[in-house]
Amino acid sequence: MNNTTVINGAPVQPPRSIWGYWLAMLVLTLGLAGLAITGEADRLAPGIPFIDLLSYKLTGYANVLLGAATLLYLAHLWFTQPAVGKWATGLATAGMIGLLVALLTRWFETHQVLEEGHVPISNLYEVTIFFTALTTLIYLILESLSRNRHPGAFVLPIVMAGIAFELWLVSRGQAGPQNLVPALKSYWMHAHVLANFIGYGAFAVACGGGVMYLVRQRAEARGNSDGMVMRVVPGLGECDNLMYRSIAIGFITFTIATILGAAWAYDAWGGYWSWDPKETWSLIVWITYAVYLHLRFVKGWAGSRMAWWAILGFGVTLFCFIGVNMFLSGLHSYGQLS
Amino acid sequence: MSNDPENRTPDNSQASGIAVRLIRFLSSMPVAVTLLCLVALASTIGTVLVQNREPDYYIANLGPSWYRLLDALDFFDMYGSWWFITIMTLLVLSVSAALLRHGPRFWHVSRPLQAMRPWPKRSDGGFTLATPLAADTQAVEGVLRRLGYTEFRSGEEQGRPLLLARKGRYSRLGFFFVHGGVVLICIGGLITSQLGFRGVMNLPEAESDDKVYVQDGNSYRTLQLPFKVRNDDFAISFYKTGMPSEYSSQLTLHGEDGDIISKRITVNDPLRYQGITFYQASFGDAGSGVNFTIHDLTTPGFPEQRVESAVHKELEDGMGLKLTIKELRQHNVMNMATEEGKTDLQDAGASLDIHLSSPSSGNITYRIYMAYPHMLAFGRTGDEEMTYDNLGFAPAEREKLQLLEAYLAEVGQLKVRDPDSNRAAFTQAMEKLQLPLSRATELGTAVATAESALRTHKLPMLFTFSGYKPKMYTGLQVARDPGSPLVWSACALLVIGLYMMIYMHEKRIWVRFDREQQQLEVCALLSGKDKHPLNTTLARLQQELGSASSTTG
Ligand code: HEM
Repeated sequence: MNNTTVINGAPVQPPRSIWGYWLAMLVLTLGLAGLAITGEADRLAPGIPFIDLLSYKLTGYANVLLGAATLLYLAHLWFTQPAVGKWATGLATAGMIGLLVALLTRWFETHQVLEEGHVPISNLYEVTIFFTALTTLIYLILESLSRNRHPGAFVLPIVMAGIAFELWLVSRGQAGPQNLVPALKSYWMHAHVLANFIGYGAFAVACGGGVMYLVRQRAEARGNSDGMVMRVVPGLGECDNLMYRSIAIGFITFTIATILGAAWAYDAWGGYWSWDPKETWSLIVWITYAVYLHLRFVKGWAGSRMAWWAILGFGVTLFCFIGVNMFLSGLHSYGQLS
Repeated sequence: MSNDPENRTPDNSQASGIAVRLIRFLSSMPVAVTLLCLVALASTIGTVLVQNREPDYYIANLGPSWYRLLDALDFFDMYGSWWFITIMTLLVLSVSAALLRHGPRFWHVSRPLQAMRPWPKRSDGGFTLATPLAADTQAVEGVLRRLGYTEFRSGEEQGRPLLLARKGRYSRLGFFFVHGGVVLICIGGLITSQLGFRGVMNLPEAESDDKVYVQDGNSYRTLQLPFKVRNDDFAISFYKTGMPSEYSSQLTLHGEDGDIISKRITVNDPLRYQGITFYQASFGDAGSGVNFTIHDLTTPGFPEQRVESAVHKELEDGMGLKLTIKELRQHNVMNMATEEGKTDLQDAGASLDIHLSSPSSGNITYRIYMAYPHMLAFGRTGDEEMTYDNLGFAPAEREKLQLLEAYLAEVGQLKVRDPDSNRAAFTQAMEKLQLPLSRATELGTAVATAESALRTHKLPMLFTFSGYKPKMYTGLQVARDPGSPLVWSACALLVIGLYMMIYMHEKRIWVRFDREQQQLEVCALLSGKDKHPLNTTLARLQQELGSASSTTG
C-alpha cells in the first residue's frame, strides 16, 4: 500500500501537526521575557538613555542571530546538507524569539522609563522591530508546515532590509521610547497595528514567494535541470501556493486591520474614514490584493504574472507602511520622521 | 460561481434582454478590475495632491494655469467630485450586478443533494487505493463523516457500488457576504454623506453654543443643533517634555428646560447622544487674560504703560503702531543640560508672544517669559530663528531703566568713545539720578550689558509679562453618522465572507468500490477555480482510509 498520495501528478503529503511545537516556543518566549524583566527591573529609572535599555541590547543580539541565519539560508543554496538548513532554522527561531522577548521587555521598560507606559508598537522604530519579528515568525510557521527550508534564502533578506531600516532609525536618534500623543492611547490602535503588521508580514512572505517563482521559472527556461536553483527552489506550483496562501492570510488580516483602524478613527477623530493619506493608501493596498484574488479565483491566473503582482503588491504595501510617513502628511502621527 | 457544467442552471444562458446583457457587462471581470484600478489610481492622486486647501496655496505651488485646470476638474476636492462619485457608483453597480447574476444559481446549487450523480467526466483530483475497506461502504461513509461530510447519496454503476458525499453546501454564501458587504459599506457611506454631517465647534470654558461649522469644499456653513452644548470645564495634562498627555472636557447638553446629559470626554472617548457624537478633537486659547507692561524706549523718560488685555486682541496707538497678542504658552520645557547628549528637562514657565508692527521698526515678535524678565527673546519677520539675549536687568526695575536712559543720553553727546569717557558719562548719569557711588559696580554691569544688547538689536520697546488667567476653548468634532451601524455590520459580514471564500469550499467526493480488486477509486470536485485546497483534503482522506482499513481489517 503506497502512502503518499499522487494528486494531479504531484505527490502530496498530509499536513502535520505543528502546534505543539509552536506552543512550546510561545511558552519559551514568555519565560525568557519574564527572566529579562526580573533581571532588569531594579535597574530602570525614568529617563535612562535608550542604549542602556535591555530591550535595545536584546534587539541587537537578535539582529545578529537573524543576520547569521540569513547567511546560512543563503549558504544552504549551495551547501545542501540538512545540517546547514537546520542551523539556519535554529538561528532564525532564536533571533525571532529574541526580538519578541525584546519587545515584551520594552513593554515593561516603557512603564518604568516613561511617565506612562505603552504597548511597544507605537512608533516607527518599534513597529519595524515588530515587522521583522512577525515576518520571520510567519515564515517559520510556513516552513514547519512545508518542511522546506530553501525559501528562507528569499524571505530572510526582506527581514534584513527591515533591520537595516531599523538601524537607520537608530542612527537618526529615533529609537528611544517616546510618550504617546493622546490619540494613540486606544485599545483599537493596538489591535489595529497588530493586525496590520501580520498583514504586512504575510505580504512580505508572498513577495519572497514571487521572487522564488521567477527565479525558478528562469532557471527552467534555461533548461539546466541540475543547477543550484533547480535543486533548492521549490517547484513552481509550490511557490505559487506559498504566494497565494500568504496573500490569503494577509488579505484577511489586512481587511480586519483596516476595519479596526476605522473603528479607532471613529472614536478618536469622529469619522471612520476621512481619506487621510495612510487610510487611502491602505485602501490602495487592499484593492491591489483584491484584484490579485479576483484574477486568481475568477480568471484562474497563476504563474509569473501573479508572481509579479505579489512583488509589486509588496512595493505598494511598503509605500503604505513607510513611504506615506516619509513623503505624505496626515493624521497618523505615530510614524512621523523628524 | 462555478463553471462546472454539473451546476449550470437552466437560467439566463439563452436570455439576452438588454437588462441581462447590462448585468453581464457590468459584472464582467475586465470592468470590475478596471474600476478597482481606477479607484486605486484616483486615490493615489488624492494623497499626493493635498486636498481642500485655500486657492492661494495651490496657485503658489502649482502655478495659475495648472490650478485652473485641476480646479475645473475638482481635483482639490476629489473625493467629493462628480467623477469620483461616478466611479464609486459604477463599482457598486458592478458588484451588485455580480450579486444579481449569481443569486439564482446560488439557490440552485445550495439545495440539498438531490440525487445520485454519475461519476464525473472531469475531476479536480483523485486517487486509487488498495484497501480491504473496498468491501464496506458503511465504513467509508463513517470516515467521510469524520472529515465533516454531511450529505450522502449512494448508487451503483456497472455493478459497482458508488458513494457521493458533499460538504460545504453553503460555502458559496461567502461570495455574497463579501460582495454584499462591499455594497453595504458603500451604501452606509452614502447614507452618512447625505443624511449626516461632520463639523467643528470651538467652545470656550463656561460657554454654551448650538452652532456647528461644517466644511463644504473649502468654505464653511453653519448648522444648528436641536440643543445647546456647554463646556463646563476643560482640563489638560502635560508630560514632563511639555507635550500634552491628555485633554478632556466636561460637556453638558442642555435645552430650554434644563440639562439633558453630561459627560467628561477625552480624545478616545466621545459623548454620543441621539445619533450626534461629540469628539474631543483639539483645544486652543479662547482669549486668556494677560497683563503686561510696555516700556517705550523711543519716547523720552522711557514711559511705562500697563496693559490688561487678552490673547488674540490687537492694540493700536493711532500712529501706525500695532501690537497683536498672539500666543500664551503656559509651559516652556527646555533642555537645560550643559553637557552634550544629556537631557535635563526644565519648565521655564509661562511665555507670551506679542507681535509688534510699526512703520519705523518693521515687524518683530517678542517672546516674554514671566519667570525670566531680563531675557530678550524676539524674532524679526523673515528670520526663521528666535534671537535670545540678556538685558542685564528686568525692565520693570525702574531705577535701572532710568539710569540706562540717562547714561544713553550722556554717551550720545560723546564725540569719542573709550573706556574713560564711558566711565565719566556713567558717573554723570549716576549723579543726575542722585544714586550713591557705592552701587556703581552693580549698576554699571547691568547698564553696560543692557546698552550693548540694545545697540545690537535696536528694539523700540521692551515688555514685562506680569500675569495671566488662562481661558481655553475645547475643540469639538461634532458628527452625525447615520450610516455607521450599517457600515460596521457590513464589515463583519465582509470579514466572515472572506474567511468562507478563502477557506471553505463546496467539496464533492465520489467513491467507487471495486470489490474484486479490493480497491477504492476516489474522485473529487471543488467549487471555484482555485483547486489547491483539494490536495490536502485528498491527502487526509487517503490517510484516514488507510488507517481505518488497518484497524478494521
Ligand atoms: C471592492 C471590492 C470588490 C469588487 C468591486 C468586486 C467585484 C467583483 C465582480 C464584479 C465580480 C463578478 C465576476 C463575475 O460575475 O464573473 C466578482 C467576482 C468575484 N469576487 Fe469580487 N469584488 C470585490 C471584492 C472581492 C473580494 C474582497 C474578494 C475576496 C476574496 C472577492 C472575490 C471574488 C470571487 C471569488 C469572485 C468570483 C465569483 C465567480 O466565480 O464568478 N471579491 N467580484
